[in-house]
Amino acid sequence: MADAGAAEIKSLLDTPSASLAELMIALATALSAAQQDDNATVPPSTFSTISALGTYYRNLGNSVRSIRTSSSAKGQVLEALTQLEAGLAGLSKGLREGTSDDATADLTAAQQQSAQANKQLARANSALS
Amino acid sequence: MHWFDRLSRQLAAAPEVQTTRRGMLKGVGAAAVAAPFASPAAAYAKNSIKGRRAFSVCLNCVNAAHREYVADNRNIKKFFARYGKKPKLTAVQSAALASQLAGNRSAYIQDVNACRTGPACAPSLPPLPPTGVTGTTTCPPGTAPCPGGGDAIATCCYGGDACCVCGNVNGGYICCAGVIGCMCC
Repeated sequence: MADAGAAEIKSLLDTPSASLAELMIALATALSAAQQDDNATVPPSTFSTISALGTYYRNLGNSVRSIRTSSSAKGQVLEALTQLEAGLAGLSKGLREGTSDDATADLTAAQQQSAQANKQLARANSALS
Repeated sequence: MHWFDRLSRQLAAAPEVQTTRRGMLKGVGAAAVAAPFASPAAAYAKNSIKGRRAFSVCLNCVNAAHREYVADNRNIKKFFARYGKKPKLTAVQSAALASQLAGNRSAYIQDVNACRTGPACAPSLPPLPPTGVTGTTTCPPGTAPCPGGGDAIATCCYGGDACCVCGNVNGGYICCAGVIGCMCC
């Protein structure tokens, strides 16, 4: 049986956020506006959106960290959120690197980190039930 | 079918790519007919046609990659549209989307680079030597000079192409389609 802390963490993860959706839409829109120049340059707003997403996940992590629970899933959630932040940092770096090979490597790594975080969050969420 | 395969099929079916530069191609073709015995002019016109065609193929390739990328990201926006005017997202869902967006961008960069370094944008025309009498060298019409040593013009690239310093070619210069910059070097 999950304790109250675990239930609270699960509630945080399961509660959909309008601001998170807004940020993801803004990111998809900004990335679509990539120019057809040498560097496939994205609008400057892309980076502030990525930064805001990072702040969102960091705040979520802080909220989770402050909750007391005996569930080991808390650690998994925190790890996944850190990974997600790293994925966003990789995305930002990859976008700044234009169309170079480094960009491809960083973007692919960012993709994998975010996918891994997604799986781990889903797994931890199930374990919190 | 991937866009690159689709493009390859289209090009195989219609080697004379239809573009907005069609008029320019016709103009150059007519110039070649008008002076059939002026061999430098004919050679220039022939090369120019080749150059424009190569440019179109390259541009089509890069444009197709961009269209594909925008469509991929539009699908993500469609995902949100299902949730009404004020969509909401959980952290788990946003992680999946972040992964998808990074993957789309990565695929886009790879596609564009495949265009740039593949046959679509490969430099097909060597730079032209400058012409003219001693002391006053100029580039043939339709081409632009690349900077040379001192005041001299080293080579000439077709209009719109970029003069790229390229250490591993004879003459030190290569002409790349303007749309791809000097990455064809």
